[in-house]
Amino acid sequence: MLKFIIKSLFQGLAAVLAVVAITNIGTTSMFLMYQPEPPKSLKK
Amino acid sequence: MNEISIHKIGQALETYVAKKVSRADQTEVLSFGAEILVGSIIKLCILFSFAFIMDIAVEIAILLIVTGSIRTLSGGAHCSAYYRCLATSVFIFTVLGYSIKVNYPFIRQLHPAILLGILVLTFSLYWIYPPQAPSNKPFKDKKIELAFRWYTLLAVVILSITAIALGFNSLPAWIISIALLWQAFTLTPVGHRFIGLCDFLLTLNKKGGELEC
Repeated sequence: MLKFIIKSLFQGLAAVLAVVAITNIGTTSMFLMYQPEPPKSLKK
Repeated sequence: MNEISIHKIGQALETYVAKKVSRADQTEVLSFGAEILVGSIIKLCILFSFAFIMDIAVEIAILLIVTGSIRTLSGGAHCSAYYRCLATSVFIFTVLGYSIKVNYPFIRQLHPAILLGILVLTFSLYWIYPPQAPSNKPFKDKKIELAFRWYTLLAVVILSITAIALGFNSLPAWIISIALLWQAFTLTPVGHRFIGLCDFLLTLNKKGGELEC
């Protein structure tokens, strides 16, 4: 049960990171004046 | 600064998360997302720590919402490293927030035409200077650039109407107009030079040529 909860939490976190990455790929990051290098796979 | 960088923290978080959820194929995407998320959280924590200490949390919150939402559409000047972005933003937002708070008794007595003048000047700057995508995320074509230009102008009009509706002697109205003006300033050549100078002054171990970053 605990294993399932932990896995769900990490899957949620991974989904959040993916959404943040995708929403920041074509635009300026909202709170950063520095722009990290986007991944090559998403640049295409 | 090379030992502890936000890029490495982002990569470490991504590696840990990817291992837990078995998503080795998405490491680059998760790493990029982690870098932005961790960078933003650290920046907001430091900025709001200063804001609470200086009792300017409301001013900073409104400044951040307005500049953040417009910046996403219009782009603007950038720093070349995370810690320089952090130091520059914390300095600028606390100075702006504190100046507005301290000068508000004087500002509220100003003629309404001054607030309108700031909003007209701001709109003119957004009209003159097109949206500026970061060099590592250029616009794919002219159509997208034009769309971002119209979204920016629409957001500026909505925020300007909000400021006017709030009233000429309302604190949030003045914060919104000053936030719009600051964000428009970062689109201008002078704004780029100012951010470039902050970037240069915050560069440790200068080797020369940093201003071209």
